[in-house]
Amino acid sequence: MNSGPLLFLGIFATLASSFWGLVLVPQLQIGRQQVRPIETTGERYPAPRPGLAQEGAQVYRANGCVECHSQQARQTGVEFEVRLVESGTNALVIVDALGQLGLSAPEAAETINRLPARILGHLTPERAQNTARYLNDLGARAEAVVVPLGPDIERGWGKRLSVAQDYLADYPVFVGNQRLGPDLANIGARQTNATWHLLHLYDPRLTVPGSMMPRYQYLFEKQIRNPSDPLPPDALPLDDGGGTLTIVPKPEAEALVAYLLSLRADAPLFEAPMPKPPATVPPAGTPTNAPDSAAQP
Amino acid sequence: LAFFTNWSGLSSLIGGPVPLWMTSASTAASVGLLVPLICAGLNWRLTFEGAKPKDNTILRFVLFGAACYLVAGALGVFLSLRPFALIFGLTLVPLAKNYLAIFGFMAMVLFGSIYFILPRLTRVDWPSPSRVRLHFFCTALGTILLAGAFLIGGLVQGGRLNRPELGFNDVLKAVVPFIGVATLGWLVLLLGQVVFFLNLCGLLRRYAEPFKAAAVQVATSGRAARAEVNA
Repeated sequence: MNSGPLLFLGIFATLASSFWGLVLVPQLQIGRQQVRPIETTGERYPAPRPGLAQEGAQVYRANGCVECHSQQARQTGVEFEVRLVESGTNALVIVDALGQLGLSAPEAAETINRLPARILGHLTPERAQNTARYLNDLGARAEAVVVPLGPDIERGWGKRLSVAQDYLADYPVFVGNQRLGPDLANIGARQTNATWHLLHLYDPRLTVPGSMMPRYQYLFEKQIRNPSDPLPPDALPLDDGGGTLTIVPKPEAEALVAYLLSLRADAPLFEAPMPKPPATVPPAGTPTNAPDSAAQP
Repeated sequence: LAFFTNWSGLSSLIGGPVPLWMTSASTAASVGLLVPLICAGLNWRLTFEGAKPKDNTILRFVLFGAACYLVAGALGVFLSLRPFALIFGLTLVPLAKNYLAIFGFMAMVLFGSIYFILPRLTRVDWPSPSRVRLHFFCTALGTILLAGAFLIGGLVQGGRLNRPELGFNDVLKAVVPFIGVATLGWLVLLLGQVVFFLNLCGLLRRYAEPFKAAAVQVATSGRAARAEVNA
C-alpha cells in the first residue's frame, strides 16, 4: 500500500481549498481597498483617525468594550422610494400628478407644502425611476432614493449597512460578536456630545437610566479642591453636594471618547448607498426670508 | 468533515461587513456538515447499542459528550442559515453552541477517557466512585444550565433585538434572568471540577504510596548501614 503521497495531496488539497477560498480570494477582492473619495461629496473616506482617537481605540480594546458592543450595522434589504424635492413653478399640475400616483387630494396638497417629502415608498427600482422621471418632466424636481431596511437601521444604529471600506482605519477590527450593548458603528454621528460620553463612561445610569453597562470610574480622577477655586475646565458637570469634589477625566477617558466620536459610518458608498439627509436640502418655496433672518443674530 | 468545517467558519459574519459570497459559501458548507453529523450519529447509535450507561459511569460521560456534539452541530447548522443568523447571530445563542461543544462534548469525552485511562496507567482504582458520579452530575447539570440559559436567553434577545420599537434596555432586561441562571451553571461546573480535582489527588496519593514507602525504606536502610559502618 503505497498511497501515502496521494493521501497527503488529497488532505492538503482539502485544507488548502478553504484557505484559497476564504483567505486568498477575499484578500484579492477587498484586501487592497484604499481610502477613496466619495462620489457625492468629494471627501476622502474613511478619514484617518486623529492621534487621540487612535489611542482611544487601544483603550477600547483594553477595556473589552468589544465583548458587548458590536460595530456592524446590518440591513435586511433595501426599498426604493420617490422624494419630491421641489414642486417647480406649476404646483397645481404636480398636485394633480400626485393624485394620479395614488395620493388623495388633501395628502397631495399637504405634501407640496412640506417639501422635500417622501411621496411613494415600497417601489421596485424601475418604478421609482420612472415615477421620478414623470414628475421631473412635469417641471418638478423628484428623485428616486434607495432606503436601507432592517431593525438596526430603524433603531438608528446606522444609516446603512457597514461594509469593509468602513474599517480601513482600524487595526484590529472591532466587529464584535455580541450585542449586550447597542451597536457602535455610527455612535460618533448619533451622539456628538463629548460630555455625554464622559458622563456615560463615569456612570451609565446618569445618561441612560436602567443601563446595564458597568461603570468605568477608574478612567476618572477624583480631585478635592477649595470651594473658592474655579472648576477645572474638563471637570464633569456633576452635582457634588458640598462642592469640594470634582471628577476629572484621565487621558484614557478623553482618548476613548475621541475614539467613540470618530466612529461614524455615515458616508454614502457605491456598495452601500443611503439617502441623503433631507435636512441639508434648503426648504423650497419660502415666500420671503426677511422675518427669519431678522430673528437670527 | 475536514472539507466542510474549514469552509463553514465565516457563518458567524453573516450580515456583517464582508462580501456576501463569502458568508454564502460558509452557509453551504455548514449545511454540508449535516452529512458527517448524521453519519456520526448513526455510527454511534450502533456502537452504543446494548450498552448500559446506568452501570457504567465512564460510558455516561461519553454518551453525554456524544449527545452534546450532535446538538451543538445541529445548532451550528441552524445558526448558519441566513434568516436565523441575521436574528440570532449577535446574541447569546452562538455562545450556547460553543459551550455545548467545549464543556458538553470536548470536556465530557476527555473526562471519560481520563477516568478510563488513569486507573490502567497507574494500576490504582479511583478512590471514590461516588465522587465520579458527583463529578458527572455536576458537569452535566452545569453544562445544561449554562447552554440552556444562553440558548433560551439568546432566542429572547434575538427576538427582541428585531423589534425596533422596543428600547434597548427592554431587550436587556429580558435577558438578565438567563444570565443569572448561566452563572448558577458556572458555579455547578466549578463544584464538579473541585470534586474531580480532589478525586485525582486521592488517586495520585494512592499511586505514590509504594514509592514513598520505598523511599523511606531506602533512607532508613541507608542510615542503618551508616550506623553499622560507624560502629
